[in-house]
Amino acid sequence: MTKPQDDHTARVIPDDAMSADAESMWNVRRAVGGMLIAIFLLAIFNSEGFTIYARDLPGNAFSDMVVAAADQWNELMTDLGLTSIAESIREAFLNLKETQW
Amino acid sequence: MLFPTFDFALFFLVVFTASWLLLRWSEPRKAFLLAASYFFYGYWDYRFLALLALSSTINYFAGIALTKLEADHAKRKVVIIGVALNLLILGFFKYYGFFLDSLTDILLAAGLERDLPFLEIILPIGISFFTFQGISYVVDIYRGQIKAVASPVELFLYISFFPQLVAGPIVRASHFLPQLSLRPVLDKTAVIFGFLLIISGLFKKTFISHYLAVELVDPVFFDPVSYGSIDILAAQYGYAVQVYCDFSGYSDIAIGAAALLGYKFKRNFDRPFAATSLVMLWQRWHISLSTWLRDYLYRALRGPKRDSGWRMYKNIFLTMLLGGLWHGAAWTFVIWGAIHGVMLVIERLVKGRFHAYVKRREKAPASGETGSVGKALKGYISFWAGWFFTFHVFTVATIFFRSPDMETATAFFDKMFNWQGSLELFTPFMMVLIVGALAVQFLPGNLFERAAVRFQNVGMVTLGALLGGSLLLIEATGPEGVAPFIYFQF
Repeated sequence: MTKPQDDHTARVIPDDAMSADAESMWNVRRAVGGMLIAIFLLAIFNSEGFTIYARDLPGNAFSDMVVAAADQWNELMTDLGLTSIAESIREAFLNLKETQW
Repeated sequence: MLFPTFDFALFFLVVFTASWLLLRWSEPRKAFLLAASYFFYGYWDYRFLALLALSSTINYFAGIALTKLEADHAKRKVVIIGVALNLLILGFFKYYGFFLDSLTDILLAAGLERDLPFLEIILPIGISFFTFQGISYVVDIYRGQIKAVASPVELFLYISFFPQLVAGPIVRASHFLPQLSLRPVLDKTAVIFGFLLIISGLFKKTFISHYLAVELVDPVFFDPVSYGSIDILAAQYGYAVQVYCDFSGYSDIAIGAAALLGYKFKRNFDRPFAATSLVMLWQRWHISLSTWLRDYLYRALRGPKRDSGWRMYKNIFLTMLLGGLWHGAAWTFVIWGAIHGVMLVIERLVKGRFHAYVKRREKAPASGETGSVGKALKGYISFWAGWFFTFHVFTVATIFFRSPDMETATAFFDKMFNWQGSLELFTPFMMVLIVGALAVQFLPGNLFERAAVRFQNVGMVTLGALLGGSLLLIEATGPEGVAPFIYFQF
């Protein structure tokens, strides 16, 4: 049994807590990695969303830079044809949605 | 800060990473989560941070006083003062305008014209939720169900923890505070479970709820006279589904975010539209509020002894009526609460008599025994009759809940039953949304838990691809913009 340095409740944590911590941190890395990959995928395939977000930021020198960078990135993704996937999905969905009786 | 925004995604990524880096330092971790929660709340309007802190301070000192005092009458005084202060804050922000208008009307009727002090009061987001948590903390200590916390950080974090701060679920101190003194663990299942809930919540809110709102419900409730009966009827069902997806979607994201931070929240919705009685529906709808009303309002009305008969019915009715009034100072909410109160009483009365009748028949000599097929048929009919009754009481009551005033509600009913007008808004897509959202209610309730166990070993890249793919799909197909959550206004 080890006494944790930070414990203010005088709780004693068994040694296997260390392995629980290791497991937690492994899962944290997995989750953070997953979130970063998800953001990266959105940045590639939905780059227009970033330009919209950037334009909604309060106007200042920094947000101007962000807007310029987001626009450039969006242009690049559009030129590469990567944004067309989201557009195709949206178009197909809207066609389906507009179906009438 | 709204959940379905890029701002929240960035905020959560930072808070999630930093909070787990502080895993070995429990007090700094709690302080960090508290600071993050205050940042989250202040991002909307920093002026109300003081109100949040004031509410927490009142409850913290009430808890300390209850621990130190011995005499029951002294403790009772502290509880009354603590609860009254909580309700005073809530009442001022929520009902000041209503009381001022009512007082002006009364004075005018009495021939007294007075200029009353008018204040433009903004309703602080989440005020009901953190007030209810504060009240439950103080009352639970008084009832001996929990002990007061010595650490103000723990109490402040309990009141303001960002996943549940602005729209619940209403977390009980007895459930949350013990988790703060344990070392949090993030296991494989919790990661998948958390993300599944977040994606499910985003889909419910930004896709189902938002489409139903903008393309069916809002236009019909804005001007019911302009639409035909089928559109009106569809809006009635559509709004029930919209409010469910909106609120349970928020709860899903809150529970998922908390799970990723290492804390467990209880389920707040459990397939309410599969309920076959109103009692069952209220055991499954906004569970944290229903149980809160039962434990702190119904029990306060009832007193220490269990009640029965008309006294119980009166208390059920009053609980629902006050529950309706909590949603807002308007006659529409009062009627909504009254409908539920009356129907709950009727349901109990009818069920009580029906069970007595069945028992009498069972005791009577067998004249016409029903076979197993007959019993199954009876069960089937009773299930669907119960479901139909429950669902329609709920959806009819929500017409009052959604209507901005009584004129709109009466126009809505008037148009619903005249069977005229063309079909404009109720498209096949709207039907799929409504029927689909209702159909999934009949699936097993632990699907996410089972899926989390099944996919617990998914690697980082697959997890990211699934998460990104789901978000992309929601983003590509959902309506533009983010509608605020319905329950923010309460």
